Amino acid sequence: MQHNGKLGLLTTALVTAGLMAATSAVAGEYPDKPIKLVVASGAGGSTDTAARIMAINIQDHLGQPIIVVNKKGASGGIGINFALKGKPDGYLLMEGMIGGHVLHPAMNTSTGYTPADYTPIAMTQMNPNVLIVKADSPYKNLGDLLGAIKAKPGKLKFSHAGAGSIHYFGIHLLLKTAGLGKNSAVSIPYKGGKRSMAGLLRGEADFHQTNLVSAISFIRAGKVRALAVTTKKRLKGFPKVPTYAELGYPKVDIFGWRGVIGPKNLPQAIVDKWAKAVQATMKRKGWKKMVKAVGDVPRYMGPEEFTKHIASDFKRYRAMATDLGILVK
Amino acid sequence: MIEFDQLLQSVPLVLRWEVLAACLGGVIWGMFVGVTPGLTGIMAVVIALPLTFFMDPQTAIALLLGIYVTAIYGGSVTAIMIATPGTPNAAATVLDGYPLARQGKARQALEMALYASFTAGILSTVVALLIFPIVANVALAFGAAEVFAVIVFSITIIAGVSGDSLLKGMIAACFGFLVATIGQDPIHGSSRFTFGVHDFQAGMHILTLLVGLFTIPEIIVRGIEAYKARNTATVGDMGESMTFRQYLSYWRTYIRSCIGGSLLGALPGLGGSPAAFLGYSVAQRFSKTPEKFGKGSLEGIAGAEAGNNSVCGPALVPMMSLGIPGDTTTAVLMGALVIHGLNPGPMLFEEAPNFVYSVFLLLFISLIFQLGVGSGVVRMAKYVVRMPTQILFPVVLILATYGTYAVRGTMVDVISMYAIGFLGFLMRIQKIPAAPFAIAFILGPLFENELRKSLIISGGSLEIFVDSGISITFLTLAALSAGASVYFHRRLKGSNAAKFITN
Repeated sequence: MQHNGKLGLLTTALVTAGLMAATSAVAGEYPDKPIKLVVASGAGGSTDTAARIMAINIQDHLGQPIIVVNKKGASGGIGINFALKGKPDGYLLMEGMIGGHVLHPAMNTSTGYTPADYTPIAMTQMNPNVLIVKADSPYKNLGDLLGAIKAKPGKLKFSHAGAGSIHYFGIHLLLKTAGLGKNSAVSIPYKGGKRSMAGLLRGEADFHQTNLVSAISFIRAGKVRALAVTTKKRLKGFPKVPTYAELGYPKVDIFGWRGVIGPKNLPQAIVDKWAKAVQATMKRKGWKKMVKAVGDVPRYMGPEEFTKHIASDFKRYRAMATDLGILVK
Repeated sequence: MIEFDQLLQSVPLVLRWEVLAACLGGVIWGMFVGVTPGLTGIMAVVIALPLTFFMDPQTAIALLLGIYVTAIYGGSVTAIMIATPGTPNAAATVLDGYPLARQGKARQALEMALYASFTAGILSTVVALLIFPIVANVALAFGAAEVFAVIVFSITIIAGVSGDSLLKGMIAACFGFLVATIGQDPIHGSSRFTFGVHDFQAGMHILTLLVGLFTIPEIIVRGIEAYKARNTATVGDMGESMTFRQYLSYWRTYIRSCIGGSLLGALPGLGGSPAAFLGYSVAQRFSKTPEKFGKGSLEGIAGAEAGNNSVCGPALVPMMSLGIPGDTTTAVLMGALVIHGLNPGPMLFEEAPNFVYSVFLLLFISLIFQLGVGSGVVRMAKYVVRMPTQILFPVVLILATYGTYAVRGTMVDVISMYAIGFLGFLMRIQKIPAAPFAIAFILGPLFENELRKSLIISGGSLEIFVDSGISITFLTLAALSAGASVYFHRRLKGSNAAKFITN
């Protein structure tokens, strides 16, 4: 009997364990633990802020806390490589950004990844770019500026947030579209967008293209003059600033974006779940208010559209980098 | 200029219980983070950031300022007690703080750090408030060439902390410059000296280097000593308290460090660590007893801690008035302001003047809270000195390892930290000082970046460096300072004191 008793106990234990495993498999519907969202840039930057605003809003829709993890360095390469190394189980995702996810690998073949190595889930917001000069600059419009660059190639300078930043590519896109050589203007790199703005204000650079949010208060204060924006239509707050398209350069349509991106081979069910949760989050008043406060424009793109957008951007900027001879190997 | 009626109007905004509670909470959290190696001020602010989304702007900024201010001071506690800078800002405090603790004068060292931090914090905030427009314009007046001149001047500090041999100091500095080149080229974005390791693309983290350089060799050396002597007892004594007269006697040091620290604070991108070294070196230059520096000088602690703590107030000025943050932590603060619908930049003063003034008031309140909480921490430090070696060292080693890992979450940093630690140990055997290594590592990238940027701007002409009065002044100061160092070394050479510095 004693023997049987032990066996019975063992059986009971096994059955219980089996049941527990079964229930946890049922209850273990994704997500059943906190999700890490990697931000591949510095804490407090605009991408980080966007990620944190998303994180605190979306957790209600996913039912699990989202933990934002900052891993900056190498133009986003450090954080993205880190996030791509994880299992594609949906518990390690990234806040997507044009710089680290597209521009950096477009001009650098040793980053260790290209868009083929990750799964775009959803775009959440975008930020148009604006070309600016100092308020006392002799260049009153885009024509003046391009004319001056053409007249004395290699003299005028532009400030940007480092090779591979949107500030850098934006200007090169303009120069290329206007038929000017890559050395027609001198590039001055700064550590970050804000310092490159300071470079313009200080007069170290003659022109600068940046995201609207960074420029807005300087335009309003009359410290800088906006020459063109990269949107299709003129901006509501700045009806006098023309678009590149109006000025005859529709191809200069670069804009910053942010969204959620997962590693390669992320199961479709997880992608769909997130896309749905992102859509629901974007309807929240709190989310909209915070995103607008930081100067971004809410813009949703689902997994398919987002993937296509990233792929075509990457192709375009890789070609541009090769063309300009700035491809780093 | 400061408008007193508006300043007074801002007082009720700040004197609310939830604002004060948030500030105190921030100070306590900042203190915890400061004394924990591996947790830096910036991380502490970022962790608290989402909490502030639901607060009103004053409460939010109170919490964040409390953390920002206190984390800078908190790093000095571990620097003094266990030769491990809790945050990079405290690297210069190790040089004199730790020797004092070894001599059984930990209490004086800790109190000096606290009072110097407090004094300089208040002074620099007053300066920032009184000459707000001037401080705001520093960020614009200093272009690449001017910042370069300041960096060159700061590099001359290296000679001051070289100890017995200027040559050995230079050797150490070369190590620092070399290690600093690991990572991405600042101009072209290509990888340098990464040996195919992806994590090296972001360069060596400053805490990895500091912990490796200061903590590990210390543990090895003391461990060997304790083993040989078959004695595991520690000093076991906190020593006497600092007198008020002692505190007052260094008033010139506070002011000098405050000037240097405020300048570096107002310049974007430099931050607390260079300010601490600058303050330390200036204190030494003007000291009546420069030979005591490095072997346990209260004046050295005063210089370093007053230097790094005078960064806060001035760093906030360009952030609020130009939208250009002075360092990474102020960048996070700026993000917090933006979320609350405030636009740091040229319009902030017109749109929300009361808010700007309330920030300064909160800075004062944070400093007062810091003084209170800091005094408590000083009292608790006695448990560290009483801990026997065989317990203390393993604990420090775990803290150092975990702290290094925690900063970026990669084992590459831990391995690098131990490699640097071993190098640091070999340097100690050869009597090559560690401080020049650290300074060169901190200033090297700034030096390279500003030099190359200046030359791009000038189209390769060196004239840019003598174009403005500011750069000429700092380059002249640098030359004088370098000359003075050589003179000092002649005077010090052969004296017992110099040997102490290298030991």
